[in-house]
Amino acid sequence: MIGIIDYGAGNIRSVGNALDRLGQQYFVSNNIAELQRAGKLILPGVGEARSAMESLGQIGLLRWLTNVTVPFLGICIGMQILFDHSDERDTACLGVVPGRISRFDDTKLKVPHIGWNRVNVTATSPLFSKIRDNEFFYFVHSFRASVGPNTIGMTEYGEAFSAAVQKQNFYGVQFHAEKSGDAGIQVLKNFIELC
Amino acid sequence: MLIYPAIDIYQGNCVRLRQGDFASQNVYSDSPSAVARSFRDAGLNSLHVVDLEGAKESHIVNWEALTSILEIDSMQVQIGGGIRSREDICRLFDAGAARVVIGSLAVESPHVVQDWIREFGTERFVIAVDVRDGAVAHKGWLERAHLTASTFVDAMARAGATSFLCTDINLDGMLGGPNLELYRSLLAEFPSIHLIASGGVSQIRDIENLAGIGCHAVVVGKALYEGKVTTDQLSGFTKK
Repeated sequence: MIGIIDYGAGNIRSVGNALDRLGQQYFVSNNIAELQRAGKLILPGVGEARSAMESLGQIGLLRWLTNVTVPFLGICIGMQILFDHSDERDTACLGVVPGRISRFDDTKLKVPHIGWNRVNVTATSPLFSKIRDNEFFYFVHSFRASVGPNTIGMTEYGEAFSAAVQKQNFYGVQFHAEKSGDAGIQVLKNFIELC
Repeated sequence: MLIYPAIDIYQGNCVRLRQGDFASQNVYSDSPSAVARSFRDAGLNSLHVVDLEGAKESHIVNWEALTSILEIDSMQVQIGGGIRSREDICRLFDAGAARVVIGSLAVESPHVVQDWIREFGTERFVIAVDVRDGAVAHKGWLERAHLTASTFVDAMARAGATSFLCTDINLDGMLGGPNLELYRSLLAEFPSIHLIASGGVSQIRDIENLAGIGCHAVVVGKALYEGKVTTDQLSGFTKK
């Protein structure tokens, strides 16, 4: 069963709605004992990095999260906090994926980046199975990960940034797969069936 | 450009008003969620939903209709209508709302809104700039503050807001074309904001014009319900 991690700031309902559409059983919890029984984990996210890390700390999930061995999908902030550090309120993050999250240059760009944008699939990953290259997904974010060795999909907004990353069993998508129409549903389906 | 089909809710129904007048409404459907679903199925995944009674009462009233829309998967829904409390905001976010539209409260208590922007993130807020006869109107459009759109946008941008929904109330629901001059002048003064145009769209040409001057998004209401523009035409715009 899929466990959706509830840390009080998330976008749980939308992810749940998408899993309902896929006919998937899931549960929502902030309890380690329950979450340990999940075959797959999803960390949804909206809001900002500091409060997300603080909430996860308060419910005692930080250390456990970095060591999970089941497939894990972080969405938006849920992806960003997989990195070492976020410039958003200067926040130390989980450090699962090496790198730093920084803000788009708002002297040159409209920030946040809001709307549909193309994802260029840059590495073979089960997450992007049956997804056309340069498919559109829905983004809402002010901070981004630059392109690095763990990037599996990248998007241009003034510059190229990581739209999706993977390191071992940890997957992260900057776009809101749960709000990205059929392509987003396919990504969630891929995570559930193939990752 | 993002296209936001509008769903205005009054007594559980999907309605359209003219110029914000509650006495002058057309009922289009008794199932706002069926309307929302039809937009999604046509490839329009973003929605602008207003609780009209909420706007009148200064708190969300039509919870049942709103949650039925928020239960639909694969959509981004922004919700407005008299939102003035942290409690309403949390409840809407918990129910799955992508963003909330804050109107009167931002005029009257900008610091409260500034705190929320800091707490929840600027991505989750849209500031409504309702313009009537050149001044910013507030409180369900029934009262007016002596404030220009430019002064208000400047204040809220300083408070951290990045998205502004600008409606020319005189043109809303009138199918007479949008107020391009108003949007052009705001974008010239505040090039970094996301401007969502609302009011007056009557044909695809209007949307092309709004895109041309740099509007980030447009709310389309009556023109869609009256068949002046089709969902097919609009979905073509969304991913450009």
